Amino acid sequence: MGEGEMSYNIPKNLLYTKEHEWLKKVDERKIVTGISDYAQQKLGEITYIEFTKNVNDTVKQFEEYAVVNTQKSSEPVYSPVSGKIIELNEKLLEDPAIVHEQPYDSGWFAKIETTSLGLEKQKLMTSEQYQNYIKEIEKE
Amino acid sequence: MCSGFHQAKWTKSKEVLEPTVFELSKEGKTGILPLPEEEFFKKLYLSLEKKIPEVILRQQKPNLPELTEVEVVRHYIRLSQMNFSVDQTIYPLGSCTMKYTPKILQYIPNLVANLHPQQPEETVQGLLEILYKLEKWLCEITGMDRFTLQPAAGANGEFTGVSIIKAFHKFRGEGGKRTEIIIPDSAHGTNPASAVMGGFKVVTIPSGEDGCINLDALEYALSERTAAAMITVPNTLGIFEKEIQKVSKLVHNYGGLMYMDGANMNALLCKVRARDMGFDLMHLNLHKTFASPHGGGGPGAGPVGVKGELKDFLPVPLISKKGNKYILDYNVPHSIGKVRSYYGNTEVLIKAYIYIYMLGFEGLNKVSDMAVLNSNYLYRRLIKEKKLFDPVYSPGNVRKHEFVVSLAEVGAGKINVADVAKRLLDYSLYPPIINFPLIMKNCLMIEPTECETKENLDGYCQALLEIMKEAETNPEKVKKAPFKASIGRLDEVKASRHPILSWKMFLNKMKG
Amino acid sequence: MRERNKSSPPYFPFIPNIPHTNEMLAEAGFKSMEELFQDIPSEIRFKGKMNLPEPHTEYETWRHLKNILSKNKELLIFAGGGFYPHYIPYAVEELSSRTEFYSSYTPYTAEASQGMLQSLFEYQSLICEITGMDVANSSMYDWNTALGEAARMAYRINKRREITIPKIIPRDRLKTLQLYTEALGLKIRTINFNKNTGTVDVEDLENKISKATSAFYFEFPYDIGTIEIKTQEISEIVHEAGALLIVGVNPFALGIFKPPGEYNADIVIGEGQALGNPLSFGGGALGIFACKGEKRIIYQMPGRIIGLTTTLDGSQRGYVMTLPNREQHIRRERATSNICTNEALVALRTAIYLSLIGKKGFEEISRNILAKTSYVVSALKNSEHLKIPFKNAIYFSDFVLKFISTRAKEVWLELLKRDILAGRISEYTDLEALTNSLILAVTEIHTKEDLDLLINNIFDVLESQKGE
Repeated sequence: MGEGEMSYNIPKNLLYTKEHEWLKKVDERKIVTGISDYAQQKLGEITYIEFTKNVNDTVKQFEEYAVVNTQKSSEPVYSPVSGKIIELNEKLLEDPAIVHEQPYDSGWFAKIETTSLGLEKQKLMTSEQYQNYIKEIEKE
Repeated sequence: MCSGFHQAKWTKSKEVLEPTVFELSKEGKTGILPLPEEEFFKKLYLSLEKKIPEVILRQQKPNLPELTEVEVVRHYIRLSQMNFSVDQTIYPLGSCTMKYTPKILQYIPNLVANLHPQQPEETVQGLLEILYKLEKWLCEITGMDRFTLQPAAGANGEFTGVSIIKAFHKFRGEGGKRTEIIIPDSAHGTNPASAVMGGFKVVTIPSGEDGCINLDALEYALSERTAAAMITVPNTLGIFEKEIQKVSKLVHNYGGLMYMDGANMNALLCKVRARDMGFDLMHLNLHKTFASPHGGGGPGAGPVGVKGELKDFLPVPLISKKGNKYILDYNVPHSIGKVRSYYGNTEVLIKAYIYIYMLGFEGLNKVSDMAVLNSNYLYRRLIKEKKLFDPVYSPGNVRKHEFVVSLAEVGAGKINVADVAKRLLDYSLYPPIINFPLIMKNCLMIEPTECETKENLDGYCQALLEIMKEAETNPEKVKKAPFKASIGRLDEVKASRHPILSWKMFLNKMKG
Repeated sequence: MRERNKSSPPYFPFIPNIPHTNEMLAEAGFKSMEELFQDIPSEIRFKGKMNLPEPHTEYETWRHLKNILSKNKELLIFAGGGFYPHYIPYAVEELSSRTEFYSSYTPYTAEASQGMLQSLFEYQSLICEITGMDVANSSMYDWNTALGEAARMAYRINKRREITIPKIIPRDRLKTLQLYTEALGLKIRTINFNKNTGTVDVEDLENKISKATSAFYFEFPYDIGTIEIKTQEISEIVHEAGALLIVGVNPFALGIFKPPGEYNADIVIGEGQALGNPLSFGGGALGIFACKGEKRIIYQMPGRIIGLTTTLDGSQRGYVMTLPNREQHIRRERATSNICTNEALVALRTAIYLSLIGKKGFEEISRNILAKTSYVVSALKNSEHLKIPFKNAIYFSDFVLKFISTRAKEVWLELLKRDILAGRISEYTDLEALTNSLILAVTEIHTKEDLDLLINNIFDVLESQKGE
């Protein structure tokens, strides 16, 4: 990289996937998810977001439920857990730039009701693991 | 070169180059009315109107423009002047084969302008004769046994081919089993899209280090689920698939069919036939290889050729001969049906016929010779600049009608390939395809065709070198290009984020 | 064919570097042309000569083509079914022949292609005005494939697997629809026709539509020329079931009748040949494709779409190909369609044509067609040898003649002998009202004399056949 190291915001209290989604536990049965700061920086300018699943649909862990489009690519967004979609962030459809501004906050994608986080957690990364994971990718 | 060049630019105001027809419109004006005042029918209409239920009558007239002929002509002439085309300058888009269209091709199809598709065979014998002979020639060129001329474009042809593949396996009782089509990662995007439209799963195989199909990867992907392999020869890197015979053998061993994407046929005319490479079916792009113009994006024609064992699956009708009479032949026992209306893009088909008739075997052979020579000439000139242009795959090997080079990181990584492409416009040169195939980064895909002069190839090379130099010395300038096109760099992100896809949407947006 | 003088080698005026061959080979480091093809294994390398023509000069070619094409016969055409004879102003020919349009590629580099981009944006906008929709793409191949794509799009939107269509749609179009939707496993259900009006049986539609229905498709007018009166009612039934409404149009019908956008259609398709394009034996087709402006719908559209934007600094208006993420070159196997090359030049012609005839011309032609259709239908109605099916129908452009005592085919053949193309023989053999029938069409190009000629010849043929 010509301009030196890029830096990424990787909040401590979240879990992460290899496909750069984050997960935040709201309560025992509910999580919020979105895409990481790394993902939004790497994607380039997001032009629009599509939800390929609807509210009340069920998703399996690592199943696609949305697509993020930039001028040059269309990237699937996967659910970090199995469960039922209870809310999708409709605001992203009108203003996808929110994801760039606040990827972990108002740029969330979906709220999912789940009972399997306990089991499926093993396939997710802690913030430290994710940090190392990104370092590895960046080396390549 | 061409440093004095400026593309035409009409400016109505600071914001608008040429207003839309809607803005030009003035109430009460009319252009061309094909009808004289027919009082009789006017009155008849008014009496009829009374009997039509009001609920289905159009209350609000459509907002069509009101302009005189003069104004319409000036409007579209001005627009035409703000458009690059191959009749003005080199247009070396890779895999697009932007060759010169001989002018006679443009005018002859007018002779069939008034033939209705429901006319019976005996009244269109001349046209059917042309279509019949064209099919024979395409068979000769490719080694296939029959062609359907129906598909409207390359992708429509691919879908036809994929549907035939499906019908073939189904007919043999293997429809449920053969569900996958193997496609190399360097393929045109239409290949996987067509395969999926036909109900197949796409198995992508990575290219080898030489840019060709990796036989190990192919073998790993093959199974009794394989319905076919879709392969472009030469591939999109402009490299001939040297193991093509082995590829065909492997695919056939597993019971799959070999489909050739013939988009790059300009490299192979009279040099090698699809059949001899082992292909069972294929499509050609007449608007590429056979000089029909692209018309800003179409119409095209994508005839599909098949070997004998697949001919009973072709769409109906075929053009056959019965005694001395040319007929529309619906006797195709297991036909997949229709991939579009009627018989194909007739005008494009006639143009291809004329092209082959004029050039003959000798000329077509020359076409491939010179297309490949032009490509290699420019390729070798560019890769001499090792620091700037990297072919990545097998640099020493010859290319066919096109080639791909990656750009070195210049200007401290500040510029990308799109910047170089836009800067080429300032030299009056149309940019090549960029960032394709997807397996190469920051790349230019260049296909000069046989129609470019040596001077133009030299000029293109020179311009690329100058731009790369400028990228080091003044990257900011390259990033802001073009300066001499009709308009500066456009905001594509804005266009996608806030789509305005019609004048109506624009007006609504203005209203807020 | 004349023997070519072998002593003068052919020349190829479109291949300029032939004289520079050796020089270029040497500069690029090749010894011979053959070296450039050594990558093709010699076993498969083509040797010998193909059975192709000898080279010909332009003049020879011109004579040859004139000669062959003179074997075609131009008829007085009273046929429609998607392709209609209309007058095409010379300005359409002239402007669309501008080589800057004609010999350009798909406008990938927007800054250098503003002319084509703006023209196609205008095409999209004009289609929206006619159909009453918000958005149109910059073309499909033709009506048939537009229907296939519309059905696929409806499935993407609601994931339901049944598409409902009227019993009367052209068999060719049905075949394309089947082929385009087969892989999705879409089931096609047909709705009966009302015997009096020649339009869809709304009760049957109500019975057959369900939560499984992805879309209902009907044509305006239907393939036999009848106009649907209950558009509003149909739309309500369809939307009540949560399905989409797709309407296929003869665009000229919308100069008089309410456009589908006004009764809440979701997708409008049709054949655009009538709008300034030659018949060319069906080879100058143009698939119209328009839809509602909701984003969730727009994102599912097939084909290229031109959008209005500004320069990066926001100072000037410009046009680009937009929402490329729907398309095959980016999304590959996940694309909304495989279409790449479309019918851009035909779309350009259509934009020019609509700009030329304008608001007034469009409406006048539309009214004129209705009046002429009615004139012929009324004149023939009084014959004892034929009848016009569907007594309460409004026919637009196309209309049906059902023969009572003679065979439709014989009438058709007899008229052909008189150089009249009396449409087509009805293929709807399973519908009593449409057996032994011809489906003809008239447009604004037919003068009163032409129409009288048709009418008199039909009477004459019927009389003479009766006598036999």
